[in-house]
Amino acid sequence: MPLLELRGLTVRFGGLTAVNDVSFSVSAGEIVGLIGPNGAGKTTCFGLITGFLPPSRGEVRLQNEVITGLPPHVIARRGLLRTFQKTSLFPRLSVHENVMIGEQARLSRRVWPALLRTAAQRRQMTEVRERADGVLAFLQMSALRDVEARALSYGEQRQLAVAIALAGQPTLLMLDEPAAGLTRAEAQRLTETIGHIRAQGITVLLVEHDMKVVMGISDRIVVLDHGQKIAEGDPREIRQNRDVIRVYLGESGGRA
Amino acid sequence: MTAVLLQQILNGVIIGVVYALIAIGLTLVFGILDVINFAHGEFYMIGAFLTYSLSVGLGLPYVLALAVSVVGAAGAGLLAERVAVRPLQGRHMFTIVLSTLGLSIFLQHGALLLWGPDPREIDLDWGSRPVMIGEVVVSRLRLVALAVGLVLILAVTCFIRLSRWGMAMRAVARNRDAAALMGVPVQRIRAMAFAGGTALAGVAGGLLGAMFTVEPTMGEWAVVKAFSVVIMGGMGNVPGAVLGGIILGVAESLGAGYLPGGSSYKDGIGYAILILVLLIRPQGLFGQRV
Amino acid sequence: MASGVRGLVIALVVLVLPLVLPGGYHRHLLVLAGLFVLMALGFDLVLGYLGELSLGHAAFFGVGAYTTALLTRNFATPFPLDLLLAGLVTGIAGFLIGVPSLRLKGPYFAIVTFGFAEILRLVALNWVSVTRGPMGLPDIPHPQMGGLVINTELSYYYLVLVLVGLAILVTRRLLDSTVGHAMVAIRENEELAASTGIPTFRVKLIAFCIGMVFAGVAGSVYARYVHFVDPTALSFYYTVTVVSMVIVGGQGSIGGTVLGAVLFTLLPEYLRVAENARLLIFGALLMAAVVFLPEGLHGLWRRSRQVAGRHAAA
Repeated sequence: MPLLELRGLTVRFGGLTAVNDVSFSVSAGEIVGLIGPNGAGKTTCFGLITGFLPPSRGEVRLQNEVITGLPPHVIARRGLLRTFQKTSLFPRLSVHENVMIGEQARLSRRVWPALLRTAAQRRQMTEVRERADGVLAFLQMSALRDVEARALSYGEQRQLAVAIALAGQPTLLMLDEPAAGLTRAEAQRLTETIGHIRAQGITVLLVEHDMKVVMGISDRIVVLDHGQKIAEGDPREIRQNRDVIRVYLGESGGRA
Repeated sequence: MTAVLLQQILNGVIIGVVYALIAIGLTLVFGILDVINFAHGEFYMIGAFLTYSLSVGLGLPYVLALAVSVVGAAGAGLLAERVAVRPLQGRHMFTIVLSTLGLSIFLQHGALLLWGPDPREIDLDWGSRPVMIGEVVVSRLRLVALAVGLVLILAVTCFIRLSRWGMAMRAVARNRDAAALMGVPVQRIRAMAFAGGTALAGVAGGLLGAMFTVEPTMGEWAVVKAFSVVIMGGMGNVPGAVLGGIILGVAESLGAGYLPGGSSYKDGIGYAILILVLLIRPQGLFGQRV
Repeated sequence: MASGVRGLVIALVVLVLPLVLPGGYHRHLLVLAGLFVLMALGFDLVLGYLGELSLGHAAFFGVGAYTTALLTRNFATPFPLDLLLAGLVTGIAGFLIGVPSLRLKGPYFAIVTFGFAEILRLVALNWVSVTRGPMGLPDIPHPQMGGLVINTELSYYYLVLVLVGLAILVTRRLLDSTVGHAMVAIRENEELAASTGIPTFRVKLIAFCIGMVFAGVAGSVYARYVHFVDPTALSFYYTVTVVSMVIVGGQGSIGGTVLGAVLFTLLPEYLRVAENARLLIFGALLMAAVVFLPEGLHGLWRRSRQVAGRHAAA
């Protein structure tokens, strides 16, 4: 049983079909890369999977349960966590506080335990604090613990976004262009980090333009163009696929 | 019975056109400056008091007094923009809201100080003389109000669509930074738009003030009407404000005539419409920005 | 350590203050200030921590006041029960108004809450059979529990103090919980908050209801304190006052809110020397404060401490 399954996913905006009958699956423990030229519909797919966008047709299944049409926070609580293409953080909170928010993904938010400050509640919050520190240590960000998120450098901010998602202990982690704007060294560190994340048993689905990163880390790659899936396979197959080559070399977009 | 109905509809339309004036002022300020001016009603009140002072106090003919008070309301708007809005550019919406609330208190109590709390009347002997249109009776004053209102609405619409300043305003409303890059004097356009908004409110004040009474708290009543209409028409949407104003005016007029206990709940109609629109279709019945 | 001592000093001052001040008038101001602090704390939950501007605050104050008035006049409801019921009714009202309104954001949310508040005021004004319209409801009795009667400024002050203390306790506990963290997350970035598993609508509703309960409780005590409730208790003026308190005092900070509430209660009173120009000056001061104090008084205080070279408290 695959962890994530897309079946005939389609979405239309007015006259434009942004995602057209896309189907693929992601198995537990895999790292799958979703690539394609600009405008191919990759980020739209992410929106469809995570509940931010309702599809016109098709369904999404997580661990064989249908999640299409569920609100984003419910999907998140089922273990599907994501980052955004445009860096999205809690700007005025510290790095540690940002991660704490992510850490609370599956916790319940009830008023009475909070007000009564039960021992269980206090213990829970202490755990949240400590585990957030743990995530920071794992990503080697502990030195930045008390810095305000908006004061971080671009690369550090993108790392924080991953930290927030990671803190929620996802079953499936979806990264939207995690390498965008990173230096070569930062991108290399990102690749290693994704490897560490997989080693922890987390499945990864990423959208990425940086071919070095995608080819280097993915077990399998799915290629979209103009909203449709045009190829699927391991990196070697994809590199030699005629359609993929045509789609990338035939237009002036595509970063190498 | 049809004559009564027509009568009520006509009255509703006339008041509605004046509501539209106030609302256009508010919606322009929102569309071009991105500011919700909670003191908008006070400029309506200023227009009314200026008209009162000039016509009753100085004996100027009504229409002249109206014209001069429009200029006065515009001037007050320029001053207010400079003092209460411009220094807060780029700050959070809440701070600007609070500033306009402070301005509203300031102006209201300024008026209280200058004129006292008692309602005044602008007595025009020619104003109440009735004119017959078919079976419907309407006072001359109300006809004048209708005429002034329609002319102004037409003028504003033409200005926005056809003139260069109007185009500049629309550019600033769409995308302020891009407009600045294209050489539009954004600061000046914002000030102009604000003053234009307050001028329209002032005219409405001079008109309704003559139809009813003039007193320092009349702005509170007016601003709620303006909000209802603007929400109905869509924030930043001028034609929407016109249609919304007329709809509100007619709805109130018919409501007062036909609902049980009508006239005391008349003002409630505006609130009810406001809430219903916000809950069902917050972008307004006619959606989209300027 | 320093903040513990500071807290103790503040607590002592607050406890002893009315005994030290001369006469009923100042104690009366303290009672009013306390009630406003209570309202402002509730308002700040929604504004400072959730990030939404609600312009209907006066309505909830009024609902609490009218509930107590009606319960004590018609059913002779005894003291803490009517207070609890007033809080409950206000919470329910908050829920009923919050559910449709909280789907909206920013200016739309502000305007719809304003609309609801004004409708409530119109109801209070026109539903004469229940509320006696503009004549209001007089003869609201003082609270009485067993032998204890609260009928002086001093005793009301301590009652209000207890309630404010409870409110601060509730606020702090809330903020240090998953709910509080969720609120702040929503304020900072609602889309991201949802994607981290936060049920944004539910959290907003919780914060809104709790904030309004504070206002309702304040209204309930107010009704008893002045023995009289009329539709002016729902007037927009109270909302503007509370908004000013929180924004000028400093949103998202308990200390700032308290400071703002005290300031804005005392200010109109001390401006009485200016007689008729009183509110004129108030309006001008409000505009000036907004322009010159971008982070409110709390922000000013925080920055002056940083400048003074000491470690800034979190």
